[in-house]
Amino acid sequence: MRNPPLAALCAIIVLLGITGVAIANLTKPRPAPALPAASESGKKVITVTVEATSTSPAAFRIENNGKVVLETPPETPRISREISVDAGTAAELVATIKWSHTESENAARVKITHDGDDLADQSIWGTETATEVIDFTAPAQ
Amino acid sequence: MKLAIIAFLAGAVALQAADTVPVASLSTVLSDIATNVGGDKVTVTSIVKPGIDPHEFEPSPGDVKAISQAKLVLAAGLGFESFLSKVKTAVGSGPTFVIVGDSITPIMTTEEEDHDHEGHDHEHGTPNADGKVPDPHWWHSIENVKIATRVIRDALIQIDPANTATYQANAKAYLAKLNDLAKWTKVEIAKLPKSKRILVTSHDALGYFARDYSFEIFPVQGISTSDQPSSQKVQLLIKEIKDKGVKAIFAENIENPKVLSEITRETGAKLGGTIYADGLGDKEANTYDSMIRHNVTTIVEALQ
Repeated sequence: MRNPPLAALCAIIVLLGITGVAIANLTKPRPAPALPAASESGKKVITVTVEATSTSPAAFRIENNGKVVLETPPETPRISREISVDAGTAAELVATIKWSHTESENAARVKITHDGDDLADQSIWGTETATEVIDFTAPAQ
Repeated sequence: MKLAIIAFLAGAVALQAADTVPVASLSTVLSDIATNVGGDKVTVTSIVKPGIDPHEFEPSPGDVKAISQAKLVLAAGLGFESFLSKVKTAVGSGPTFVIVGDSITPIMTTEEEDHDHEGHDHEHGTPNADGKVPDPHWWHSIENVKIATRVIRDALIQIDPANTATYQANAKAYLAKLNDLAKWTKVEIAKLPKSKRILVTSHDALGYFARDYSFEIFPVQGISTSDQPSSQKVQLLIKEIKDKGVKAIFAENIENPKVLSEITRETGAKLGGTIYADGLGDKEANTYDSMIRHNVTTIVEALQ
């Protein structure tokens, strides 16, 4: 047996060190969890993803509450963008699609998702331009 | 020679009219639907003319005669035509009465207890067990007008089965037009943030519109134009308008906007324009389609 009291002391010091680090970690101030941002009206907002594809290139425009929140140049084949909407409300996005090729009927598909969940999935048909309302309930969080 | 030609033409017109189904309509909106569905197979007589307040209307002996000569009589129902039971009694069992409102699921509303009737004898529809009465202004929901179109199509087919194909084709075309109107309306209203969807109107006629497009509604009068608001109600309304920051209030084509003018003075809200509530107008709103487009455009422009 070689110097057992010294070994025990070392073990106690190590244990105290580990416990101290653990206590320090547990009591360390943490940043508050991210809260939804607020819109101009003071309501909480969440971010949703707008994905749109079209049978032929087009200019896409999305309006929310009377304001343009997404607009692309002509000849855009597809989009995937994030926009903000009021949380926990029935949203009404006005989607306008202007197609470049107007010889035959065109179709576009607009999908709204939030954290991987589908909120809306709508097909819009038209020859030159089509405008439709995409309505969905925005999650509260 | 000229007289002979005129007599011949008059005879030809009379012959054509005799070949059509005579329809009497007690609502300008129903006249428009019947004209669209019936086409050249019907002759529609509007008993209540555009711009006339149907809540105050009383049929003349000439009107009763015209109704008695019709094969089909169209009424909005739900208490809208206060004179309906009297007219039915007067004309007897001749014409077929179709009360379109009987096919509509109504919004039930509380009849105001503190309003005055200005001495008029009028009905507000039959109260249910809770004392609520149906709102008779169902045509402010385009979905209800689609139901009305089908009701009128079926009534015409019943009366004139020989022209079934025509009535079916006309109704199909009109329903497609109503679908376009519904789509347009939805897009226009979506341009208006929900926080601004507050309607202050002369009388409580836009309940179905408010329900379909998420508006909060504050009528000055009750569901009839003869329901006069109490001064207490006007004061409460002024407070609501101030609290909510309402930008505009709306007069109706057949109303005296005096009370509304007083409210605008007190609140600073502007008069947002004239809307058509109880029926069609004779200019920019002489069809159902143009009436809805006029109302929606007026409301959205004023509240934006």
